[in-house]
Amino acid sequence: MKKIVLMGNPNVGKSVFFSRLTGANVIASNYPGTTVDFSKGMMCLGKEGQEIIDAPGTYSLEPSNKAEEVALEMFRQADLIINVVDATNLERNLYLTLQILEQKKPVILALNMWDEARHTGIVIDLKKLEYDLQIPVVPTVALSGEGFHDLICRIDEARPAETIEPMNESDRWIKIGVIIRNVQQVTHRHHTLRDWISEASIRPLTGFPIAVAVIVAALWLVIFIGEIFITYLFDPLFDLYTPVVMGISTWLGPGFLQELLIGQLINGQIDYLQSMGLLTTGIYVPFAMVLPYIVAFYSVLAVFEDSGYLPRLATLTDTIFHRFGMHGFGIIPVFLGFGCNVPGVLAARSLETKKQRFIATTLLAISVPCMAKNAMVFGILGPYGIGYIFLVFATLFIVFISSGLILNRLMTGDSPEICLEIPPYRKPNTATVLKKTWMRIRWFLQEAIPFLFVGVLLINLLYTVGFVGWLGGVFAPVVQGWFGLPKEATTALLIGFLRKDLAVGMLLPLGMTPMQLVIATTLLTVYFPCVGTFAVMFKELGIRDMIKATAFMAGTAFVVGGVMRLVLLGI
Amino acid sequence: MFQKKMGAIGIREQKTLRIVAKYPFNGPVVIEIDGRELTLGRHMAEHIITGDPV
Repeated sequence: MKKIVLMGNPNVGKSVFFSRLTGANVIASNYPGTTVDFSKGMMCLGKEGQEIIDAPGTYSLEPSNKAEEVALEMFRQADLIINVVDATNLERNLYLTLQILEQKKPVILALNMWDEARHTGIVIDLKKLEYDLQIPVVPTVALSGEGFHDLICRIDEARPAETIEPMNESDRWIKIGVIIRNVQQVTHRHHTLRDWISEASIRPLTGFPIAVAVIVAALWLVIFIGEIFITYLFDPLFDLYTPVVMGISTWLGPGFLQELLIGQLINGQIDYLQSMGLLTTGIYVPFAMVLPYIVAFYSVLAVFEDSGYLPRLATLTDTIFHRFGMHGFGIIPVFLGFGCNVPGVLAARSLETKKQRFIATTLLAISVPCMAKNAMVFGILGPYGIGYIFLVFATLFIVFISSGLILNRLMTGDSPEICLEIPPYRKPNTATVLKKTWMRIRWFLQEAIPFLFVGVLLINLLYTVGFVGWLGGVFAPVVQGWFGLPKEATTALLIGFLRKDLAVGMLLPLGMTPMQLVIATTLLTVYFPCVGTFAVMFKELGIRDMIKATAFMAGTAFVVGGVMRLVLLGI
Repeated sequence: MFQKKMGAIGIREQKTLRIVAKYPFNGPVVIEIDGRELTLGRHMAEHIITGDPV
C-alpha cells in the first residue's frame, strides 16, 4: 500500500481535496492554518487501496511552527505527493513545488482553484508547465469536484522530475521566474466591489467599526437561532417526553433504580435541571439546553471561517494581542474555543513559539467558556436578567486581559510578529457550511453524552457514600470563607472537571442569590478546564508547562473569586 | 532565515508591493503583493527595503 501525501501552501484547499478523494470528512475553512495535524484516509485506485494523508500547509520545507513540522514529517514518509497548488498564486506556490521535486519523490501537480484563476484573468499553459516541471499537471476545482476524474486517472503517471537537482534559494527563484514567464499570462483587472470590501475591513479606521458590528450581529444571531430551536423544537419535544418518564418513574417505584434513572422528584414532579437522573437531567441538559446553542454557534462559526473574515480580525487584534505575548493569530484559538476548548487548544499549534502557545492555551482554559457552559449560563442566569449574564462575561474579559498582560511578563521566550496571508473573501457554500456544522454537532454528541452520563452517575454515587458532605467540609474555608458560596458548591466544582454544563446545573438546588450564581458560574470557567481540554493541553504543552499552567489557574481562581466576592457581595 | 521566510511568502527583490494599511502604535502593516494581501508585524515590514517603482 502506497502512502500518498497532499502537500501545498496554507489555504490552497488540501482538506477539501482530502474529503473528496477519501470520502472521509475533515474540517476545511477559508483561512491559513485550519489543518494543524495530519488526517489519514483510504482511496481505491485500480485494484489497490491507497492511503491518503492530508498534511498541514507549509510555504517551504523549512518548518517555522509545529503544524509545519508535521507537514515535513509527512513529506518524509510519502511514497507519492499530490502537490496542491493555488492557481491564482502560481509563482509563490512553485517555491515549495521545486523544493519537493528536488527531493526526487514522484509528484503530480493539482492546479487548484482553476475557476478562480480563470475569473481573475490568469491563463496558464498546462502543456508548457508539464514540460518545465517534468510531472503531470491537472487543473482542479476541489469545491465542485471538477478535474478529479483526470487527477485520479493520472496519479499513475506521477514521477520524480529527472533534471531538477537541489539548488539554493536564489537559483530556485530564478528558475521560477523563467517558468512563470514561459507559462503564465495575466490580464490586469479593475478593482471590484469585493476588493473594496476587503480593504475597508482591514484598514483600522473602517475595520474596527465593521468588526464590532459583525461580532455583535454574530452574537445576536447565535442567541436568536438558539432560542428558536428551544422554543419551537426542543421544549415541545420534552413536553411530549415528560409523561413518558413520569410513567417510568411510577412503574419503577421508589428505590435505587428510580434514584438513578429519574432522580429526585421536586414537589412530586420532574425538574429537568435538579432531578439529576440519567433519563431526566442526563438527557435534558445536552439536548434541550446545550444542543440548540451548539447548532447555532457552529453554523455561525462555519460562515465566519469560510468567508475569510477571521484573518482580517486577526490583523485588527494584532496590536492588542502583542501585549499578551502573542500576535493577532491568537484570536483564532479564542474563536474556536468559544465552541469547545479542545479545538481551540489545537489551533494554537499555528503559533510559532512555546511562549505563545503556552499563553494562548492557558488563557483559553481560564477565560474562554465553551458553548456548552455558555448555554447553561444563559439558561440559569437569564431569568434573573441580562445584567447578570453580562457580569459573568465582563469578568471573564477582564481575567483574559489581565492574565495575558501578566503571563507575557512572567514567561520567558520569544514572541515573534504576525506574518499572515489574507485570503480573498469567498461566498460560503450552503452545503459545505451545513456539512461542517453537522460534523461538529456529531462530535459534540459523541463527546458530551458519555461524559454527562458518567457525571450524573458519579453525582449519585458520591451523594450515596457521603463523599459530598466530607468534601464540602474540607474546602469550606475556601469556598465558603473566601468565595462567599455555600460549601455544597464544592461538588459542582468537582463535577465541572467532567462537564461544565452539568456543573452549572448542580448550582441550582443550592438556593443561591443571583450574585452568588454569578460568582460560581464565573469560577467554574476560571478554576480549571474540563478533562478533555486538560488532556489535550497536557499533550500539547508537556508536563512541566502543564504544572505551571495549573498553578496559574489555581492562583487566578483564588484571586478572582475573592475579588468578585468583595465587589459583588460587598462582604 | 528571515529573507527565506519572506521569499517563501512572496516578498522578494524586484517585486512591486502596495501598502494597504498601517496600524497605529507600532501595529502591523498590510501589504498587497501579486494581488494578495499579507499582514506583517511592523519590524518585519520595516526590514523590507523599497525603492521607486520601475
